[in-house]
Amino acid sequence: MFYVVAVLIVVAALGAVLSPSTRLVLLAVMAGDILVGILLIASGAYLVGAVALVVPAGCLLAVAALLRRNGYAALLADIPGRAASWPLAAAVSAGIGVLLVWTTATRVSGTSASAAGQSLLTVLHYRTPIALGVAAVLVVAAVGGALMIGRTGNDERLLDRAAEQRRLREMRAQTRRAHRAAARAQREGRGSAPS
Amino acid sequence: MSAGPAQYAVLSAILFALGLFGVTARRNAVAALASLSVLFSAPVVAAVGFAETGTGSLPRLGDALALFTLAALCAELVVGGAVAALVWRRSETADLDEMTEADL
Repeated sequence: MFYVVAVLIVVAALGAVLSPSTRLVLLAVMAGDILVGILLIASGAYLVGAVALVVPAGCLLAVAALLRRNGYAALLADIPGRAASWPLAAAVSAGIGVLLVWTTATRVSGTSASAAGQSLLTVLHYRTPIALGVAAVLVVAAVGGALMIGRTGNDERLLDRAAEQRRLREMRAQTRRAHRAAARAQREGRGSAPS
Repeated sequence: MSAGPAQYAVLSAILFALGLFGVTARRNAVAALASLSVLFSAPVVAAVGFAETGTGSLPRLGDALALFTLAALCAELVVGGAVAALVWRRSETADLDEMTEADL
């Protein structure tokens, strides 16, 4: 089962990294996070697996909901190609990947599998309480900061509305000009036509 | 699950390399953010894999580390998404190459 889930995770990661559409990218990342959660639960880390299932998917849904709001639709559609230096990026990433495999996989292959010790909640409570507190504060501060950064002020809303009305006016004027030009061309064509 | 720590390490390395490639090669802010999320899942997989298949002498510190990594991932996603939206509102671009300090 590990290998099936691992292959699916790698496929989802490839989709997230290579997909040409932002919507597909977000879907692939969400699928990858859910698969990682399933892998962790199947490995025996139930609490971390449940958190991995819920938290990143929730954050991505929040980001997707924010971007689906009026005015951000083009951000989802705007997907420029890869950077000019992508071969270098690919080479560096592959090199670091090989280095990681060499330094970790080849060194830990000899260890034997056995049950881990204390429960996670005990460890969090007694051995890493400060880190737990810092992580909780970090998450709360991040959510608060994101709401502050992402909110639209009254003046911004007014400006957005004015810009939208200007865009609509220009569109209507353009349509009127096109209709007038078409009518003029039709009249001139009828006037010069042989009777 | 019959996989040992080496298998988890290989999966983690692949995820890290793919995420790193996405972060450095994508020009769209949202796509780069998504790639960063892939990159962040690599230490989660490694920490849990080592903790669950390790020698047993260590407590579940790996799980705790994975939990903190997930908290950092959550913070990165929400703040990154908000910053991408803010930059978009100001400069109408999501292209990381076109963003300048003036946009921020």
